[in-house]
Amino acid sequence: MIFSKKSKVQQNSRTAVSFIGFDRRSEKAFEIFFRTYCKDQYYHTKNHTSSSITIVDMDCYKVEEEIYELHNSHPGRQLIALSLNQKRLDIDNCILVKKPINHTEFAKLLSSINAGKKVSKHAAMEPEKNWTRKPQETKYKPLHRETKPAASKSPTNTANAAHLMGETNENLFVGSNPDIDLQKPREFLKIIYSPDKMFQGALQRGWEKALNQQKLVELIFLSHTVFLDGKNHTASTALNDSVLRPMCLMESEDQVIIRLVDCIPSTEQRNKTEKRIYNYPIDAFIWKVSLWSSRGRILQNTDINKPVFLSEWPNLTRLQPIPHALRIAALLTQNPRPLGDISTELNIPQRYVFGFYSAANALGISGVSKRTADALFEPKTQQAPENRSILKRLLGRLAGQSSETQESSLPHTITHQ
Amino acid sequence: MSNFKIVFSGPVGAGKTTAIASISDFAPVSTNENASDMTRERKPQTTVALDYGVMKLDGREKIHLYGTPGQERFNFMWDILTSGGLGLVLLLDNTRKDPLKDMTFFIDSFRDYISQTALAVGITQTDIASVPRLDIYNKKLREMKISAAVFEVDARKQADVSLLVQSLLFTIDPGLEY
Repeated sequence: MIFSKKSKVQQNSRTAVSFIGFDRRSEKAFEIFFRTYCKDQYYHTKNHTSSSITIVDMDCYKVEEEIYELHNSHPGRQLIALSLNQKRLDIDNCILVKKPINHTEFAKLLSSINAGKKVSKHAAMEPEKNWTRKPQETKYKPLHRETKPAASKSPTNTANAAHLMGETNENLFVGSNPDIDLQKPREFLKIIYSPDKMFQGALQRGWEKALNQQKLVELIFLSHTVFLDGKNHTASTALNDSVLRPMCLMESEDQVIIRLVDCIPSTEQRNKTEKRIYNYPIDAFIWKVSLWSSRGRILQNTDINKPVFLSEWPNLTRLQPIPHALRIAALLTQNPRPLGDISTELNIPQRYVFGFYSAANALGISGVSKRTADALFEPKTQQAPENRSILKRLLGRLAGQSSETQESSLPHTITHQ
Repeated sequence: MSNFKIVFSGPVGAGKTTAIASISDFAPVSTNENASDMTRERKPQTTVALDYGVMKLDGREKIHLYGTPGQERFNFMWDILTSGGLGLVLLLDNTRKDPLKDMTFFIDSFRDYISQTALAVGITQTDIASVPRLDIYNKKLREMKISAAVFEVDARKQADVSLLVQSLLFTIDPGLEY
């Protein structure tokens, strides 16, 4: 950082530091460090004569010659030598610091030198590698759940999320079911569906077969075909969304034929109307079919009061977006939670949580937790971070960006035959 | 006025410069020079000065976007770069020889920082190399006891990078609302 004349007075109260053996990137990193972490107490100068401290990268090729040259011309100069190895220099006023540098310790070292305190010549500061994650501040409280009435949930919140995610027709994927009272089991009938009896169930069974045998599986339903490639993890079909979606809502029972095939038939062998083939990554296809099938409902036999887990985030850049998916994934990967609690905690309609869960379950990354402890305790609501308003504004900026282009990046390719 | 920082890291050629460029308000300040070492085979030019971008928020706040050097020999600087950051966006190139090893290396290097902030992982070049698949990365992360979003990302696409950074924000605070 080269300073102008007007800042010279200010510089007088600060300590000049020069560098030997660093490239511009490293110097820039130190400049940021001085400016932010050391509160502008130091500044970078290229002039060795005017600096009080010189920091040397000992791992730079043939740097020793330059150091001895500097020492001869400025014998009182305080040197700080950074090195991966414990290279020693036979020079007074030289403190050896072992890389990697811990910024807290390094700031203390500079401060001590600045204050004229005596510092050990070997200030090895490799940080202790404590690989255990810091305990989260989340504490647990005994289970006692209350369901917020549906009316308290903000429709604006969801409308914003849907708009910002670029999802203009969300009802197709999450339906329009209102929230139910989770204390009334009779209402559960409104929010359950049976994928086993639908095309979704056949798709999952077919994919399992393709994956296990690493082969091509053909699904035939209502004379339409879908090919599942167990090796390449893809689904191919001539069906467009306007045909596929209604198929997903029909009860198929045992009408879907699932069979192994050697190859996808050529154009001549196929129906002449099948001019286009849509190729999907298998996860994107299963996710989409599950959303269409569930329409904001959960699988039959799901215990709504038991915590559910999410073992990993769905690959949301390549899946059909639904509002609140990122929020649900973030919350659920922290700790297993009952589905009703997620909706309450995030203040969103239940159908988004149910739809997300059903699709994630179809991908095999979510399910009802079997750990007893998860059912006995519920995670305490996380305290809002101090910088939430900044995070929120940044989110608004980013969501605006993603909605502009996400539709065009949805996951399928079209092959023209 | 408050300033916040998001750090982008990952091996050479993973797309850090491109990712910052795709969401920054202005073209990132970066100095690319001819690579002089083993990195030349992967990328003729490599970043030798900081990648730096900015997202201006309404009000006077700014989010600074910093890209770390990809070359491993610079890793002694990472601790300095990350101080005061909101979280780490780790980009991994799926065409590299052992991207899982890359992930382990970078997570171990940033382990303390990640434990105090948050991590989001973007896998690039999956159109060229489809394996390792994402479930393998997720499995490795679980073994390392790290919780993070792992997305396929095209660093040139603003929507991909934006979603990845959004996942980082929700990891910090799932209670955030749009």
